[in-house]
Amino acid sequence: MEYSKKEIKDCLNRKNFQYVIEGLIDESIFDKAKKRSFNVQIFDARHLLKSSKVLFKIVDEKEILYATGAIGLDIIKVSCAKGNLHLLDLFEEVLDAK
Amino acid sequence: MGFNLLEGNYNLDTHRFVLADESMVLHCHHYNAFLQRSIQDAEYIDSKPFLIGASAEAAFDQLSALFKKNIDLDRSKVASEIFRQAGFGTLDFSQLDKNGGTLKSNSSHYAVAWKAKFTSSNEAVNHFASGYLVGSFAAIYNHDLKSVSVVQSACMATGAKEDIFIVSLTASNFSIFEKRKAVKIQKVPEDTWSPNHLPVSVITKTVAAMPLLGDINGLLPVFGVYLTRMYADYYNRISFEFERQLTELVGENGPMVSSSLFIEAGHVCAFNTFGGIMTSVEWDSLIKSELKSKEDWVYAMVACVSSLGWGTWTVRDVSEKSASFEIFNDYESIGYQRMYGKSDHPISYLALGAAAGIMDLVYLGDVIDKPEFTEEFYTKLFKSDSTFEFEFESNLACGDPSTKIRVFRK
Repeated sequence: MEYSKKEIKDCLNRKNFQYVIEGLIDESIFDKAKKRSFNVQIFDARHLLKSSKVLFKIVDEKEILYATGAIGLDIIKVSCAKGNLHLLDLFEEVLDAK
Repeated sequence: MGFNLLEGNYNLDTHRFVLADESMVLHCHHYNAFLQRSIQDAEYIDSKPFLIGASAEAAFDQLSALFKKNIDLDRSKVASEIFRQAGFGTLDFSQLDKNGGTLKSNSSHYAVAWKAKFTSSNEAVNHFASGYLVGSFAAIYNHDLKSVSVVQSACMATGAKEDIFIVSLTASNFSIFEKRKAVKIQKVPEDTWSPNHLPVSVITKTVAAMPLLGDINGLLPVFGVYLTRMYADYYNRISFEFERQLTELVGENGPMVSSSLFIEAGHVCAFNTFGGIMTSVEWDSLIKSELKSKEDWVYAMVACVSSLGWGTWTVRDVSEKSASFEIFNDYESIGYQRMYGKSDHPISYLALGAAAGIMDLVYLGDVIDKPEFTEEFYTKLFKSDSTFEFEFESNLACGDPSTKIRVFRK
């Protein structure tokens, strides 16, 4: 995926970034994340709110990095504890993967 | 199956989250730290005993009721899990035995919150955890609250590597309150005054279904803040006890002084939590496509508030100039009635500050355009000539059927 990235807010002991994806996010991101040992949590509320989109959270096994996005949107917000920014590189591998 | 805080505790009819007779409400770290700091800044009031006593009371009553009903529970584990899942950090109760002991923790919501808002502290700040710890300890080992005490000897907010608490079987060193009374929870009318095209109750149900639980470190980072599922009566006790002691000290001006502090805390809450929600990926993906006007943003935000466990929030009318909110079973009034009975003045300060904050965010702050949440933006919203005014029209704590708030332009 092509994307642009900007730091959006320095909150507490975390760094927060916003990734804007060229095109819309699709479900292939789940497999790409799992292949890099991230856990994927899904919140699908379409049975309640038909117009809603499937929310996902991609989390490393120590729950240090969180990436929140939704299928069909073009934005992913990432929050990562300071001192662990190597996880951001690993997450970007997920976005770079074909 | 392990203990899950979310299972079966949220009531969609009353929009209250109740575990073992303790109402729990979602609030962010900005509100938690700001509220405690506002109380502690009044140095003429000895607040530490009731800051600890308030959480000791809630934890002791909740866990005692839970253990009485479920005799097979692993008590220490449940106490640890409630703390972690509610987003307060970690407390491993297996470090204690029936005589007490020393408990160390390297993850604390209050220390993180304090450092974020105020950089650091010269003294320990985790009074909530101290109270939770000593109240839970008493419930786990069937001790009387009057015969247990707690000291926090190290705090990460001061720069220490970990929080350290010492719990002992000695006379209590915190406030112990009269037992709270049962209060009748009011039936909520089905008419929620929502515009026809907007599924307000479905929005509430959807957001309430989100799995908002603390992570392995007991922290709950979401919407750009750290959330906690806090005891409503912790907030209530520390606020109303502060107001009571202040009134004893300064007379009839007490409520005026305390209300200004607590309404400001409501603004802080609205700015950070509501602002965080309305600019979140979660909002964009679940709700935003339903919204056609700024008024819809107000209705939808209020629908989200009901999912936080604060009672049933409704919008009676809204325009760019004013709005009327009606709240059923607002948690401040319920708590006041449980603790002190009927009030002679309106006390739902958080609700007042938060309701005004919604209008400020939508109409004055153009939150739709995703602004940066800076100090300057806060000042523009809450301290400028254009800031919305607000007043109570009624208050449940005073014996009215509901709490009504009017927000309007100057």
